[in-house]
Amino acid sequence: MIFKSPVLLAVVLGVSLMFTKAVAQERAASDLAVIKGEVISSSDGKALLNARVTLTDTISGRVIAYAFTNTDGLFVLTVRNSLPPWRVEASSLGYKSESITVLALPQRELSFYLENSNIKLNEAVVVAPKVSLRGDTLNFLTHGFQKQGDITLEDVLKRLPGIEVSQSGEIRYNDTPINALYIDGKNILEGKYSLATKNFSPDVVSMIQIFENHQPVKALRDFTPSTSAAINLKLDPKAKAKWILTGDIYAGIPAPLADIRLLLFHFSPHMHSMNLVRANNRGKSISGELNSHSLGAAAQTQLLNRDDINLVNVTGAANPPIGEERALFNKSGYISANILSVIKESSEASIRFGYIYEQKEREVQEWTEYLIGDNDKRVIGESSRFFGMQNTPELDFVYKTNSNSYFLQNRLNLKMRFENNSSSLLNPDLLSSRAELRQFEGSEIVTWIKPYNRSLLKITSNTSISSSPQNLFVEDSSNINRSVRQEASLFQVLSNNSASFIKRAKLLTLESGAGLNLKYQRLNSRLSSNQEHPSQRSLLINEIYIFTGARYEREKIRVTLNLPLKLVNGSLSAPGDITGRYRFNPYWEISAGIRVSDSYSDIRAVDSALTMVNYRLFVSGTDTLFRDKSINYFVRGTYNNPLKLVNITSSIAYIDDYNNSVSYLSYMGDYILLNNRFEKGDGNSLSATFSFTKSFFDSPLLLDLRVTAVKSSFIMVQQNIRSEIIQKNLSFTPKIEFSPLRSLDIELIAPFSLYESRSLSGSGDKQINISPSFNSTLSLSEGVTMSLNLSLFINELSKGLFYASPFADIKIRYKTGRGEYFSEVVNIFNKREYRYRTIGNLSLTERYFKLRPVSFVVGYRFTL
Amino acid sequence: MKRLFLAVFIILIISDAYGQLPGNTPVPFDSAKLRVFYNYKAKNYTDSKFFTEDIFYLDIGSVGSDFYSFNNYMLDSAREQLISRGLTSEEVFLGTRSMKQGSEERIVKNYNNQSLTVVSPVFFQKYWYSEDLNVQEWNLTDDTLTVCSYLCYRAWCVFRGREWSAWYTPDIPSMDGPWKLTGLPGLILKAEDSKKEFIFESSGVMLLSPVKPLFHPLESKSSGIIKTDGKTFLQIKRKSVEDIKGSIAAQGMKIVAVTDEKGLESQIPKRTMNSIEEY
Repeated sequence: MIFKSPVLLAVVLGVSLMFTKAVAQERAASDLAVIKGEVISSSDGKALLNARVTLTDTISGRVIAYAFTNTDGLFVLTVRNSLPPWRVEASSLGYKSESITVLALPQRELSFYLENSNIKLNEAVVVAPKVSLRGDTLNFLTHGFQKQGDITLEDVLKRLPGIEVSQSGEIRYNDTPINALYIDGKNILEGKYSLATKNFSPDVVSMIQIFENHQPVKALRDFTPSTSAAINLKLDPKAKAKWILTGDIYAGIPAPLADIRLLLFHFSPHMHSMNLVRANNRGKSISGELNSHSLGAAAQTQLLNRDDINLVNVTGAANPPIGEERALFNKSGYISANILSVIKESSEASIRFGYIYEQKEREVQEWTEYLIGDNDKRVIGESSRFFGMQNTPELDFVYKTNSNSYFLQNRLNLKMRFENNSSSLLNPDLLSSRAELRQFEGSEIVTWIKPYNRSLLKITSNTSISSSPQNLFVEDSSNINRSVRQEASLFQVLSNNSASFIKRAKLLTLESGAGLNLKYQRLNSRLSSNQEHPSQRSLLINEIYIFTGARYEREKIRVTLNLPLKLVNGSLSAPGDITGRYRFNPYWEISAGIRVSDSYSDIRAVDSALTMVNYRLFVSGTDTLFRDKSINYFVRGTYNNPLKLVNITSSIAYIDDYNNSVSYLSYMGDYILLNNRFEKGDGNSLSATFSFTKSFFDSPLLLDLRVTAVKSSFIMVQQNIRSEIIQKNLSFTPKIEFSPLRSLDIELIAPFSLYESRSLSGSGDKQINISPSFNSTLSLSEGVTMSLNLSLFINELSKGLFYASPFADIKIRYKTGRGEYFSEVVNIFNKREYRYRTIGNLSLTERYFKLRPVSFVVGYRFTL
Repeated sequence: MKRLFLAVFIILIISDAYGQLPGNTPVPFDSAKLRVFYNYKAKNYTDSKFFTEDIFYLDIGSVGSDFYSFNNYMLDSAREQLISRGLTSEEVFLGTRSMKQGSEERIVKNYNNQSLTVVSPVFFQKYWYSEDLNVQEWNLTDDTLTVCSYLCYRAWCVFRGREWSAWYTPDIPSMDGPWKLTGLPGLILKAEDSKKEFIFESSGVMLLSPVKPLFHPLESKSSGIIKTDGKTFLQIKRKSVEDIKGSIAAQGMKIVAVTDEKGLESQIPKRTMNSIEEY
């Protein structure tokens, strides 16, 4: 623990004293304050008539008062019910703005000398810039970033400076997940925003706005500024206030292929509705579009558990690195109905319903080589045919009042999962595995936030109850006596409750509060073969805590300190964090921080009973509750100038795990036994990232480079041999997009990665992967475009031996007056097999995937 | 509307009242640096669903602004051109009848003395009146809207019988806006009343280069313009809409005939005025 008790107490007391002093010093808010001053032209010393003078809150930027100068250049600002600090800014057409920050009510008149400037006026006269910046809002005109081959809005978003869209659809801005995606100012989809980004045509959206430092809760805007951004999609006027149906229907060969997307939406000021039906059997696993992406704590809507719980499963469910689409044989579909209704000015209710049906098949052969010690290896191989079927209904209801005077939210989420997976193993021993995975979950979030003048009360309760009864059957057709059955059932209640009080005193914002977090888990397990091994284990973690936080914010500087003091099952713990940010100017900023985290283990790591996770992996827990502790240090710099279309972000992070669990692996015949033990072991990770994006207003050129370097070390024990593993990963992803001809768009991407995993004794390996791809879109005539996508996946199978897999696809689009025709040929080279090797912790795995054959589809997109 | 237009046509033939008003040598009071374009939709009659459409210019200078209809400006310019060539009133009418008729109301704001001047004809008589600027008591909100790529914030107020919402952009530090709406910490790019019967929405902002001289309407054509006040002017205007015959008679003229588009005798349509403001 880095905070020894006396030190911790001193800090807590210090902050509490500051809090008390600040509160005591703050005089009662006066009803009326008057600030006078003058605005003068610095060039000729004459008073400026009609210059605008605004007084804004230093944190939220909200205008509190404003005035215009008279013929003598004098102004009088009348401020009601507000206390300093304020930012006072004077501006006039044709002059450069001037501003000052006042920490107390000025006793003298303020004077502003404005310089002549054409810049202000020039900015004002740009009628429709491709991108514009206003405070923390960036406006990108969609058509300025749209290319001929773009099918969905996501294609355009990926091109905006600072935006990164992961394969799952999660959107990050400056390497931080966004905290809201609004459609015309309304958050109908909450975390399920991929439904919009993966299904909207770019033509539907006229402008993409990025709200930097966006606080989605209005009542918190003066108290808790956010470091995350939000995106607002401004709809094209033609797509507003009426029902619009758009659809894509594809059909193809071989084995009749179908792909259907129907999108029905209506966006009006009082009601938003967005409804989707999707289905296909051409390898697209579309269920991910209904996944909820993390919006961070600021959204106040984060469910405590968002992931599928898999206590057991079958093998053969891995995806190849070339993308799931080429190796998946599927029948997938979902329906999604979403409606948001504005009840009154600041109140809205939304209901989201989704139902996913997905059937997946995949054939894989794999061999894993476990490096047990010096020159000692063990190889386990299997050839499997995976079949999975999943039905997942989900209902989400949110009622929200989000006004400046208070925030009230009630979210109810109900979700079920019925998943049946099976895997037939041809090798070894004609085994077959079957897993029945069930998950029933209900979550409820209630949040109440109420600001009082310069203080705020926040009460929140977030509870989740789930039950996951799951079974695994492993049968040996050659010997019925070798059949094994694993039953496992996890019941858990998670509940986080807190009340906090925030007080703003000049540039300091202080927060203190208390909370109670409960985690109850009961795991029933029964392993049956010749004998039955039932077990039941329950775990209750109660965490009572108080916390104190402080934030100091001035124009360019922000420092945040959080010091919680926790009593967890009777043990004292004091994690905490301190972060700082310095903004050199609107474009440059640097941030750094230290975060101490402390978490308790899950029941699955505690339960000492032997549990079969899949046919060859058995795990057992530590039998004792243990704590993972780590310290995270980070430094991050960002240069983001959207008016020059440049974004550069770089970060370095070091994580020191100084109290964690160690994996013990033992091999018994074809089976692996994994036991995690609690040890004060050493583990650390050093990572650095760099990203650069530059596009140009006048030339159709985009340059993009992403670099990641990670070095980590940790301890693991394999067959009683203790090893320190060093992993190194370096990846470069350069991308260039350009248009050598008016009718030709070209995109070149060449990801390169070097990965090495090695123990100090020398066991291990390294490998290089390169996967360049060439994507081009050629406009053949008006309305007709052809896209050619060529990719080459080069994987190092062994030292110096590379295996290359080329793929090619062609797409042709023909736009007519009301619709669009498509035709696609996928996997032109008819590659039927993909082979690659991957390096694990003291293991090497080589896999062969059966691929989908060459296919041809034609489609039609329409809008009604 | 077309019928009313034809009725006016007949009057024009019998009247020579239309034409230039001799004025003093005009002296510009300011130079406009910025021009804002507004599309305007108005429901001028309570008993009709029809919306009149127009385009307005707002020319902004350092000490004042000029707000006028683009369509009427074009029509006036064409008429003056034709009159300067010596054409008769009938020839002028025939030469310009294909042009769109815009609003005849012109509003000049003067930041120096915090006043605005409205000049508008009712049939053949021009009237003017002055009012104080910044009489609207705005309430600022955090609601945003992008108009012409400018991020705008919404403010609202109750002004002369209507609740107005205005979206202003802090990017352009001007207190001005369309019609009589002023006094927000940024140029108003969109404004509408709560019933959405009167809507101004900007379609663009441009730099005027060279700058455009702004003339006070009374200095250039002051002769024969009657001074009044806003309340009286509204009564005169209402009368001209709801009682055309009486209104014409009050100006010392008489309607000889009313015909429809086919030249057949017709009736003066009865309208109930839906005023943008009520005193």
